[in-house]
Formats: sequence, C-alpha cells, structure tokens
Amino acid sequence: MVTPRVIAGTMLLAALCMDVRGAVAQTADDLFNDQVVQRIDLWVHTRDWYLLRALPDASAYYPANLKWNGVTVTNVAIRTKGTASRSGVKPAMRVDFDRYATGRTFLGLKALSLNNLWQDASGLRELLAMKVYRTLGLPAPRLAPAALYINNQYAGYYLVVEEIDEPFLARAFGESSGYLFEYKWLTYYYFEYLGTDLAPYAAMYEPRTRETESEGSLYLPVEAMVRTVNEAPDEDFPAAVSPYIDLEAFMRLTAAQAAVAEPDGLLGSWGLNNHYLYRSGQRAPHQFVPWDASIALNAADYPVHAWHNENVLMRRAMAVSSLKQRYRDTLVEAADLFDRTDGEAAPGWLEREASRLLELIRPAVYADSLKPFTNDEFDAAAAGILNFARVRGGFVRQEAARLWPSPVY
Amino acid sequence: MRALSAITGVFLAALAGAPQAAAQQGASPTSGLGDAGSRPVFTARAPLLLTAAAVPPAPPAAANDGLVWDNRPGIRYGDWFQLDLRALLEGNVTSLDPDLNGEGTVFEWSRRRIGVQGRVTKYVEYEVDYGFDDADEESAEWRDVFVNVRPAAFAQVQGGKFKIPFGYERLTGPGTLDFVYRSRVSDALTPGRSIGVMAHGRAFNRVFRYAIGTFQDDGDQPPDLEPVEPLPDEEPSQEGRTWALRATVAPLRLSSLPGKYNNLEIGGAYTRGTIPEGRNHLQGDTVFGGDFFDRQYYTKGQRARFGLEASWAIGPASVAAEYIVSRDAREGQGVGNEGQLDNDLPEIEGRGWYVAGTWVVTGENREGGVNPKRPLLQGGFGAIEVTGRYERLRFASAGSPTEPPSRSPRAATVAPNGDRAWTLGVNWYVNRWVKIRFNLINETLDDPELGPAPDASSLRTIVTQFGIGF
Repeated sequence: MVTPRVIAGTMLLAALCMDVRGAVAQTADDLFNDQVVQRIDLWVHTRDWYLLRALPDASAYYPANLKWNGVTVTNVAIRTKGTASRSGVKPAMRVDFDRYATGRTFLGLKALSLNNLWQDASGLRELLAMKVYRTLGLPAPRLAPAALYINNQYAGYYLVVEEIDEPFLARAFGESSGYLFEYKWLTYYYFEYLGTDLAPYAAMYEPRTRETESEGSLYLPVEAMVRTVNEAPDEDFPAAVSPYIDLEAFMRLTAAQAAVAEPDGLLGSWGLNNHYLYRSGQRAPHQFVPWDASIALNAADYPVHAWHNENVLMRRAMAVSSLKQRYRDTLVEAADLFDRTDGEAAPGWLEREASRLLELIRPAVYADSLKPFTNDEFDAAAAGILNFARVRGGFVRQEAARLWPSPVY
Repeated sequence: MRALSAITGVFLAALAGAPQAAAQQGASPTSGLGDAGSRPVFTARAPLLLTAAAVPPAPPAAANDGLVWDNRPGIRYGDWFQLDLRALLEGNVTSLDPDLNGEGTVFEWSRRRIGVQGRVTKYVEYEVDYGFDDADEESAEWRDVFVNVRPAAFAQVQGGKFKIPFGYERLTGPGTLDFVYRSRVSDALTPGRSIGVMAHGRAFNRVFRYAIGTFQDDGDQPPDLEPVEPLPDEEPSQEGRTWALRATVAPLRLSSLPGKYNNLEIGGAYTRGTIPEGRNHLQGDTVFGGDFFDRQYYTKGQRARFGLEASWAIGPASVAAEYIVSRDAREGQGVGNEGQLDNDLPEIEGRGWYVAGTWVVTGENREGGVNPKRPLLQGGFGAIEVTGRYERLRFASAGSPTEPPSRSPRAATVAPNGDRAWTLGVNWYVNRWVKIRFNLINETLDDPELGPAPDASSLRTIVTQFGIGF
C-alpha cells in the first residue's frame, strides 16, 4: 500500500541518491548534446575560487554547487586538472559528484571534466575527434560545448567531457565491474616488455577502479599482456595475444586516430599516450579507450601509418593480414564518414559538423576574454579545421590504397 | 615496560608510606590534584576554593610553622602563608575491540602533573600547575596559573589561566572524576582553560553560587584553532574573547535535611565567543580513539554554549547529569547562490547529555569525595565504589536545512553523526592517595562510516587506571 510515509521516504531516498533541485527528466544525453552550447554555472566560495586559481598545481578539491539546465547539484567537488593545459587563468577542472556523498551521481555520472581548450584555438578538435570515434562505434567519451559561469560571471568557453569511470564503462561496455587504468605518460614508451617486476606497469597505469586490490591482481595481467605482445611467435601472434588484448578493437581505434590525424594518441609522437585501459575481469582481454584529443585534426596530410614500426604492438599486429585489413578498412570507413553527404550536396559530414559547431561556439569563444588566443587566431584555427575536414577523407583513402592495396592479404 | 615499572614502584611507595602519613591526617584542608575531596565550584582547582571558601581555621602557628606534612608536603607560616606541593600521576592500561592497530593491551601515561597551591593571608589564594595530559611528551604545559582575591565569600576575583566556568564535569578535578574519562559531551563541548578574569562567589550559606568572566579565547578544548590564511588585502581572521556565566543553586540547603543529603545542586551556564574563519568547529571524539565528527566544515562567527547540570551526593551514592548544546556560526561560508555570494550557512550544533550514578559499596560518604575508612595495610582494603554512566553526543546542522547531508566543507547540511555510550566501572580507593579505576565502555556510532572503525557496529574500550595524587 502506497502511504504518504512511503512516498515521503521514496522522495527522501531519491534526494539522497541524487541531490538535484529544479527540472527533472534530464539525461546525460541532454548534457552532452552538442546541438547547443551548454550553460554550466558553478557557485564557488570566493576564497576557494581565488585559491584554486592561485594554486593550480595543487589539485586541491573545493566545494561548489553546479547548475545546469535548471537543475542544481549541491556540494560537488571541483579541482584543477590537466598537464599542458593546467592553468590558473582559465583552469581546466574536474567535477566530482560523489566526493562528499558516497555513491551520489548526477544524470548517472560520477564526475565530469570541464576542459579549458588551452591548447586548441579552434575549440573543436577534441569535440570532433571524439565524435568521429563514437560515430565509428568505438568506445569514447561524450562531449559538448559549454559556456562556464563562475558565481554568475562568464568564465569562458569550455568543453564538458564525460569522465572515463564506472558509468562510462557501463554505457560503453555494458558492465563496469572490471579493472580500469588511466595511462600516465612518464617517458617515450612503445609497448616494449619491461620485465617481470610489476612496478613499471603500476607507474604507467594508475587504477581507477578496484584501487584497493593487490598489485598482483591489478598488474599481473598487464605484465602478461606486454610480455606476450613482445614474445609471442609470429605465427601464433593473434592467438597468443587475443586473450590479453581485443586486437580488432585496437586496430579500429588506431585507424580512427590516424584518420583524424591524432599525433598524441596510442601511436603518438611522444610514444603511447592519452588513453585508458580496461579489462572486464582477471582473464578478459584489455580494451583501449581514447582520451584527450586536443591537438587532432591539424595536419591534413598527417601520415596514416605514423609510428607503426616503433610501437611493438602495432608493428606486430600489422604483420597479421586480417588485422592489417581491419586497419585499412577502418581508415576507409572513417574517410567515407568524413565525406558522407547523406544525400545532400557537398560538403561532407565532417565539414558540415565543423561548420555547424563553429557557428554555434563562435559567440562563446569571442566573449571568452581568458582564452590564450585572440579571436583572429580562433578564426584562423577554425579555417584550418574546415580545410582539414574538406580534404582529409580523400587523403586518407588515397594513402590507404597506396600503402595497402585492397585486399591486403 | 619501564613506565609500568615506574608506576608500580610509585604505587608500592605510596602504599608503604600510607600508615605513617595516615597518622598525620587531621582536619586539614582536603584540596589536592589527586585528592578525593574535591567537587567543582568555579575554578580549575575546585578543591582549593571549596576549602578556602570555607575559610578553615589556620593551623596553630607555633605548631606548624616551616615544613609540614599535611597529607602532602607543605610550608606554613602562621595564618598568613600556606604553600602545598601537589602532584598527580595516572597511567592507563587499555585494550580495544576491535583492535585496529593490533597492539593488544597497552600502557600509557594519562596525566603527570605537579604544582603548588596555597594562600597568602586569608584574602589571596594562588595555584600553579604544570604537566602532561597525554602520552605525548610535547603536551606538557602550564595548566592552572592563577590568583584568587577574596575580600568576601560573595565577591571574589580570580585572574590568570584557569578553566572557563562551564560544565560540572569539566570543572571537576581529574583526581576526583568518577570515571577514567570524562563524558563525551564534557570532552567535546566544554571550553577548558583560558587566560582571563572572573568574578565569582557564593551567598545565602552556599545556596547560591555564581561566576562570570571574560577570557582571551575559547579555551583549550579543542586545541589548535587553525584560521585560514588571509588572502591579499584581507584582514587576518582572529579568535575573539569569550564571555562565560555560570550559576548554581542548592535548594535543599534551605530544608531541614541532614547535611549529607542536602547538597543537591542544579545550575546552568552559558558562554559566548568568536571563532575565526577556518575549520574550527567543535569536534566529536570517541573514547575508543579517533573522531566520529571531524573538524572538516568551515566556520566563522559566534560560538555559543548552553548547559544545564545537576548533581547530588546522597550518603554513599551520587547522581549527576548534564545537558549541553553548542552552536558554531558559519557566517559567509557557503558557496553562494543567485542571491548572494558566500552565503551564510546554518550553524553546526553539538548536543549531548549524560546521566551518571555511583554507589560506595563499603559505605563511605560521597560528599566531599570518598575517603576510605579502612585503607589498605591499615586493617582494611580501602573503599569500593561501583559506577555507571549513559551518554549521548551528536553533531548536526542546526535548524532544518533542506539539502541532503554532505561531507562538503561548505555543506548547508553537514553529514551528522552521534556517539551513544555506556560505561560500567569499579573504583578502588586504596587509601586517600591511591585510586584504581576500572571502566568498560561501549560506544555505538550513528554512522560508523564516519568513525574510526567503519565496519564495527560498536566500539569497546576496557581501561584500568592507576592513579596516585596528593
């Protein structure tokens, strides 16, 4: 029997689980809807906001209230984030919903990022790159353009980015009970075997789930993965490595990153970088999840086979005909996506998306007095993005055909 | 182990010296750091004032001038100068369940104090104490350092460092506590010592007592306030003065009841001060060790306390109870909203009470403290007292804020937590100087997740305290 007490209890429970006030029936899809610039308000104590900007390297948490689309989330935690993008002028921030109330979520999210676009004058590179990945069916975070207000004062144009955490895993992989690691760039690393000591792997891959488990439980499978990639006989490579890595997914992701000219991803100019590693169980294969594509979509003639030979995993995978074919096919699939007209006249999908987004964000970018670029530099970068979108598909297709005539086996 | 050997040696010495010293016992003042005769009046060293207020007859000058032993070493010069040496040594043997640190049963010093107290003429009293309260050697400090001028019993002025007049149990000297530990509410919500000046006195044959004073800060409970660092062009946030008022009445003194039954005393107290901006609210600690309500919320503004108390010694039994509420303001500590930057937040409220009872099985009177009729090695085994206490302390946001609870340092609704504890104990008064207390304490937290043992439904502490004082 539904009594008033039951109703009141249910309402209180709902409030405890999701401390939001205001409009309801919003979803994370609404938050990451890139058809509009999302207005996000943060209310932060003036002392805390001063300290956050004065000490951006401290990564200290400060309490705040977040308001979005009529919904207020009280007692969130914010901190600065980033490496090259770390700034006290226009801080990139992580927003945690569960730091001060265990288990609390907002729109099903435990956290989100507010990227400050410190390295991207166009404000579009990561937004478009991740959209390409998702459109190709790859697991990648959702993003949307955002106008950030701090204490009702405009604080600049940002990207609101889905965090790679349990809610993301549940959305992308259908479950979230496994082992998630964030890659920390320490040095140029190309998937060489580092020995049986687990410490080097632990240094590179910080656990983001199951943090309290033993080092062996966390990293023995990682060590076995790298060892097998390096030591498996050529003839057995796919069979030997498949228990440790989803090779098909790896080839599709690296091809997609090549298509968007990502120079700082799995096959980057600085070695392995910008990704998360996930395995759903102790014996499950690892999956790679892309992160931070802030310098992609730059050089329209960026090679589609860059760093293949340096990276052990890629070099050996490309020696397997079926995997090479998967790579090539994904390149062509991406190029076709870029140029897809959907029955309309040119331009293609990527240029249309770039044009639409540029028109959408331009007022927010122009009004952003804290960005490290001038408006002219924004316009020049935007023009570069449009040019990339216009010509990259053809270049990728041409290079794929030249390097790996179809069929490749 | 060396500490245990040391206290054992001191105990044996105290026992061995008891018969000789007992021969000198007389009608002298029953004050002392570890004395059984003290009950709280209005100062840190209540026994002193109790006896001083009674204005005991000065010892005959010719008989007692110079060095004397009057339950403790002292110096007397007629009726114009008195100095008594005071000392208190206490050590605890404690075991915890759950044993989080895997240490098993451990010994720690709990109090090591030494001091002097006395008077110069019958108008000026003084006290100086120095000592440690914890096992931590660095905690040694000057504790009570004050002078009391008493031209009349109803009009006295005390200045120096001493306990702010608030809380019956807080004002009870450590040697005369009924339990090893003060109640959680006394421990958390009473102010402790500060430097100040206080007017106090009694009237109508001790039916009415009062104290009103002002102090430079809010005392040393809890210690170490941490104001925030001032921002550029910002004035440093500082702690303000604390005002305190306490009054008690003993209504049964107006009746015809015999003296040992008419000492029911009821009263109330109030303090008001200003705490600086920072994470400086009162906090809740368990007896078990570790806190259950940490100082994690920003506060600024007024701190107010209100307390009610009652105590009654009835022959060999006694009962005591207190109810205390504290409120710490949080002016301008919110994250702000459309209407106001840095908005005010609801106060943090600490609220607690306890009820305690004791019964001296061997029949000695409780009033004035238990003094065994037949001490050990003097034809008896001392006095035995059984004790019990039930208590409650809880912290939460004051009022009825609408937000769900949060651990955010600027949450309107703080994550509340409370501690509910019962204590069963036995006190063995070996002689007038040596006292052994045994306590079994069981604590249950409202939210164990915020406590020292998140997986434990209850926290049990078994402690035996060996104390010697004169």
